Formats: sequence, structure tokens, C-alpha cells
Amino acid sequence: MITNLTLFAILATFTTSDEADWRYVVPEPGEKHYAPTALPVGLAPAPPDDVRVEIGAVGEQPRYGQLRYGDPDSKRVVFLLDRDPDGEPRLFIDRNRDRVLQDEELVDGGAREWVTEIGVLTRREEEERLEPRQVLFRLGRTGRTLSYATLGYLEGSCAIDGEERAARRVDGNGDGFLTGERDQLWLDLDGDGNWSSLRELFLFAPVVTVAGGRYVLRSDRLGDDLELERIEGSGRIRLELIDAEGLPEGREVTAMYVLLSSKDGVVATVHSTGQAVEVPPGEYRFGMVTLGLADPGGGEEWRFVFSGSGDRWYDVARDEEITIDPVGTPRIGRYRDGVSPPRPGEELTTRPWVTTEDGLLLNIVHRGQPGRGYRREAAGARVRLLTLEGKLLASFHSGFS
Amino acid sequence: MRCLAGLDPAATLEALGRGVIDYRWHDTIRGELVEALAKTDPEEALAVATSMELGQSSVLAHLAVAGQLDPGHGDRLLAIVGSALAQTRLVEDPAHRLVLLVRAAELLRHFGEEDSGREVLEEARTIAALLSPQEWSGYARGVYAEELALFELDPALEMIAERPDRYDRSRNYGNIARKLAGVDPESAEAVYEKIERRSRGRAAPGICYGLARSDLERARRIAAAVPLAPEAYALMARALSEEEPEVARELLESASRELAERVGRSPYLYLSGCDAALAGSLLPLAEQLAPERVREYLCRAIALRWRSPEPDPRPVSHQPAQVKDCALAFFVARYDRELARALVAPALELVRDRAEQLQLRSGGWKPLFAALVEIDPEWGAQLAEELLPLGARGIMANVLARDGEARRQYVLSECLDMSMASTEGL
Repeated sequence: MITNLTLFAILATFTTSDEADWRYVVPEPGEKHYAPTALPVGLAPAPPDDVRVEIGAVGEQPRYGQLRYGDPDSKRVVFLLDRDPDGEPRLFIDRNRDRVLQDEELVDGGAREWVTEIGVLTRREEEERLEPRQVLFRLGRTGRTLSYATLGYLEGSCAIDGEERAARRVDGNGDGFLTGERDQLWLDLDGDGNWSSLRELFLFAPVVTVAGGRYVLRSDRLGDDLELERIEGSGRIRLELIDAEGLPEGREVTAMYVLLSSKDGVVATVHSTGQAVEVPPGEYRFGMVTLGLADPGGGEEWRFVFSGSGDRWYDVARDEEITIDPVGTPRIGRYRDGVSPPRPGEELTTRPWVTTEDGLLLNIVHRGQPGRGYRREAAGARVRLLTLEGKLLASFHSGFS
Repeated sequence: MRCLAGLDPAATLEALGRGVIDYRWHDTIRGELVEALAKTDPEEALAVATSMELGQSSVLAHLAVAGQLDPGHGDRLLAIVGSALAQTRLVEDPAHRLVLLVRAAELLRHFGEEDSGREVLEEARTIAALLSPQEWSGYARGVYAEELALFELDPALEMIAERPDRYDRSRNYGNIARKLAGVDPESAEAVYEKIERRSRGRAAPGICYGLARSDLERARRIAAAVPLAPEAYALMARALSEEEPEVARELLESASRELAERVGRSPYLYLSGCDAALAGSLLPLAEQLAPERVREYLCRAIALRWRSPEPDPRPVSHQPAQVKDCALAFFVARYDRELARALVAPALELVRDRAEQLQLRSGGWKPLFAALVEIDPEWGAQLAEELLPLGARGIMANVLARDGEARRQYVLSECLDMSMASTEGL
């Protein structure tokens, strides 16, 4: 049986590789970054088909599970959770991944928590490598969830705009690696060693915003290195209603308000057509389009508000300008309840819709400007139900909800 | 399954693990599980929250766990909120990101971490400045302005003024006034005055609830001027029931008398049949403040019932008059079970007559279902088995899953459509 203390002594001083200054640290329980939130593992009453159980006496309520700790194609680590003759929960873990559960694989631990060493199994240059980590298993109070977490963090430093900053990296998604979407990157930006969870915690992503700057993150999966490369420069977006010239006479564009958002969270708003707006390079799509058109009769302007998420991304490269049409050729269609033609006596429901070319739904039409007592007009669609011979059966006006 | 998540988290977890539930519902059910587990085992709740897809639901689940922490766990609170914030920053839609940031800031303030809350609000400011005052972006800006108002009232009010819809503006003003009521009564009233006149009545009870402790006279003045004065007095009595029972007793009496007067002068509200139920909702307060007068208050509530001279001609799918009595029965049950049974009898009779129609649309019948389990859970369960529409079971289970005051507040807002008399969210 491996005891927690032995493991702790081994791992607390372990250095991940000889090439880097990054080292794996497991602090004392209760200290900062001791353990991230544990992740639940699925449990089943029977072991996987390829697993042999060579445990003398499997206790009551046996439940088996397995987790992948390493490469996506690495052998999984199987475990058994049962109860000893006194009814206390026990945990056996097949740490050597031989798919055989044995008595000596019983993990020492308390009533609901166990800590053991498991290696992150990965392949580097065709060679298998096991990177040892301490892993916490925790039985929930309901007794039906077993969750686990990689303890501790990788500690090192990285340069941000030329200044060296201490960094910690935490395995948030429980695969042993540090480049997953839940993996945490802590940067001691103010150098006070306090690791503010509000300001200095980031989730690993291709691009992160740190202290107002955008950076590309580069790292190997085990976290032996880390680079933050600032995204410099900017591109420009110009809006233009390509079909504006085709508008009926007098229907000039009086207002344009467009919201664009990038894949990494940059928000850009553009208030008019014609003028280019500077934005950080990245991929953007429309989130809202408000279009104002003059009334040819001289009345208050018409405003159309489209919203949703555009289904097209626009790539804005550094030092380049793109021109995009926020409305394009509008799409018109209708939702209808049911798939088959209605039978006599059945209700036919149809709801017309209009979207921009990128799929933003028109859901407000009004006249006048916001904040100045604008009026909702009876804007909408006239729907007519005709027979094949053209006889009108029903007609209604569909407005905006 | 959502109901089961609250009642038996362990069984729900097992059902999720067995894969018998459509995956599209998993995160919704997990959200309910998180709420249920957070009270007893925050770590297990977090484990469930972490198994959700990254995004809004996961952020809200983390904040829900943080919200259940005992005071004094500042480090744990900051760690969980920090994790939620790190996820929030990856939410692509800026309006949704803004709302999540505000929720985090509110939570931090609620737990006394005001500086941290301000810091998060500061992060939200840049997003709010970019968003349009219209539609969902406008809603998000409104949510932001409501929290900002506690620190910078004028800029917050300017943001609200930009919202094009007057009802939206009124809702925001009402929420700001409610937030300010306990800390800055004068400003609270000034903001209350900005609410469009016809919307003021609905906002008043919640604001008076907050003002009761900070400026009782102001609260009385506002309550006296609105049609919902009974609701306002009732909430004020509840706010003061522990600290100033004498004043609370007097307010309870005001609520009861105002109700009787309102019935006399307002045929619309009288016909709605809700006043008797509202009078019934005062009974637990009477039990606390004037136990010797509970019977008297009960009789007053019964006296406010509306008796239709003719059978209700509307289809059964609408809420008929008989169901109004069930709302009253829910509150009466604790004090006189037989009387409560008598109150629900006509509605049950109607169900027996038209069970088939009711099977299709039973939402308006929630008061009956709530009353049945309050009168006698076993009887209610038996009726659910034999007579009531399928939808009744979930409602009954949700009522039974709660006790005491939590049950009353749940029924007020979820079954009786009387959220204005409820302290939930205040």
C-alpha cells in the first residue's frame, strides 16, 4: 500500500523536466491552489469487460469507473469503489494500468477522500512517458458521486511584455495536461505573490486578454513551457450597405448601429456607414444590427433592429481593412408548426420571419428615435391563405412579439 | 427530473450517469442539482457544476454554490467567484457576459466583499458602454445600471433613461429603488418617483419592504398612496416582525383593514378573488405576532371570498372561480383542515366533471394542487393518482419539497401568482 505521506514527499520536490524551470508543487491541504474543483467520474455496478478483478473479497455496493489520465488514446485507469465489512468506503486504483484490480491497489485514505499518485501517460518522440501527479479522489456526501482532481500546480514564470512574472498552472479538466479549456493559468501580474482569483486567473485559450492586452498563448501540453505573445497592431472594419443604392428614392440610411464580437471576446461597435473602425485582429461576427431609414413621406424615420448571432465569421487581419454589409440580402421565411400538411379541421399556424443575410432575426420595427417617445408601428407581414385556385380562405397580420 | 433533482440529488445523479435522460436536458438538471447540493455539500455541488458545458449555465451554477456559502468563508467565496469570472470572460456574447459580471459583483457585495464587487463592476463598465440601449443589450445594460446605482446613482439613471421602452425603464427604476430602500431612503423615493405612474403600484410593496427598517414613515406614506397598500403593509410587517413586533402588529392590522376596504371600493380586484387569498397569506404572520387573533384573521379572510351567483361560463382550461378558493385553502389548511377541505371541494367537483379537458391545460389549477398537499399530502397523492392531470404531480412534489416559510413563499410566487406579496428576491 502506498501512503499519502510517502507520495507527498516524493512529489512535492519533483521537477517536471530537466529543460525547464517549471516544477510541480503540491501545497498543504487548505493552502492556495491545493486542489481545483474536482470532476465527477461515471460509476457502474460492473467492471469494464477487459478488466480482471483479483480482489479477495469485493465489498458491498461495488462500483467501477475509469478515467483517462494522459493522451486521448492512452490506457485508462480503472478503479473500484466499494465498502469494507464495517461499511466504510474503500478505493482500489489500477495505477499501473494493467487492467487488473488487486488487493495491493487499495488506496490509503480517510472516510471520503483519498490521495494517490497517478502518472500522466503521454508519448513524446515515440517514447512513452509517465509524468507523476498526485490525484485526489473524493466521495460526495450523497455517496453516489466520486470526483477527482489533480492536486497542486506547475510553478514557473513567463515574460509578459518583457517583464518576468511568476505563473502557476492548474489542471482544471483532470486529464493531467495544462492546455485544456478548463485548465487554469495564474499570473502574478502585480508581483505581490497573492494570486488574486478575480484579476490573475485565466482559463487556457488560444487568445487571452491580460490587463487589457490580447495575447496568444503557446505551451506544450504538460506545461513545460509557456509563452505569451502580444497581439500587436489592428485591422479595420468598414460597413457598407451594398444594396443601399437600390433602395427606393428617399429611403436614405439615417442611422446604423452595429455590434460585432470576436471569437476571443472583443466587442466592437460601429455607429455609421462609410467610416472605418479600428479593431484588434481576429475573427468577428455580427451580434446586432440597427438600421434607420428615412421616411420618403417626410415622417419619422423607420428603425429596424436585427439581433442574434451571425452565422458568418469575418477575418480581420493586421493592417488590413475589410468592408462588410451588415444586412446584405435579407432572408424571408416562415416557421410552421407541424411537418405534414394540416388536415381539415386542424389549426394551421405560421410565423413569418426576416433575417439579415447572416441570420440575425428582425424582431423590432419602430418609428422615431429611442428615448424620444418612439412609436411601435403596425409593422409586420400580411399573410394570406389561398386555395390552389386563388380563392382567399383566410388572412391575418403578423407583427412582432 | 428537475423536481427530483431538488428532492433526491443522489437518485438524479445516478439517472444522469445511466444515460437514460436526453442529453439536451443534462445541464438544466445539473443546474437544479447544484442548487440542491450547494446547501449540504458545496464541493459536490461544484463537481456537478464543473461537469456542465463551459458557458452561462456553468457560470451561474458556480455563483449559486458561492451564494450558499456560510458567511466568513471569504477565501472560498473569492476562489469560486474567481473561477466563475474566468469562465465569464470566455462568454462570447458581450450582453450575456455583462449580466454574468453583474451577478458576480452583486454576490460579492452581498457577502461584504464590496471592493471586489466594485472591481468586477468596473470590468463590466467597458462592456456596458459599448452596448446598445435596445433589446437584450438594453436589458443587460439595465441590469448593470441597477447595480451601479448603489455606487454611482446619476450615471446609472442616465443609462436607464436611454432605454426606449417606458415599461423597461420603470422596471429598472423600481429595482433600483428597492436596492436603495435599505441604505438611502431619500434617493430610493426619488427613483421611485421616476417610475411611470401606472407602474408604481406594483413596485411599491417591494420598496416599502426595504424602507420599513430604514425609514418607516416614508414607507407608510408611499404605501398609503397606492392600490396595493395591503401588500405593502403586509411586507412591511414581515420586515419588522422580529425587531419591532409592536409596529409589525399594527401594520398587519393595516394590511387586513385595507384589504377589506379595497374589496369594498374596487370591484375589479374583488372579482379577481385574490384578496381572500392575500388575507389568508397574512395568517402565518398573525400566528407569529398575535396568536390569540389568528381565528379572527381567518374569519376576515373567509369573509372576503367572492361567491359567484352563476356558474362560471368559461372553459375549464381557464382558472374558474372555484380555484380562487383553493388559494385561500392553502393558507387556511394549517389552522383549520376541515374548513380547507370544504374550500377545495367545489373545485374538486369540477375536476371530476371535466377531468378530460383539464388533462390538457392544468397550469391555472396550481392553487388546487398546492392546497391539496398542504391539507393532507397522502390525500393529495391519492387524488393525483386517481383524478388529477399528470402536470399536478410535479407541482405537488415541488410544494412538498419545501417546508414552512420557504413553502409559503414558493406557493405565493409559483402557484398563486401573488409574487407581490412574496419576499422572494427582496
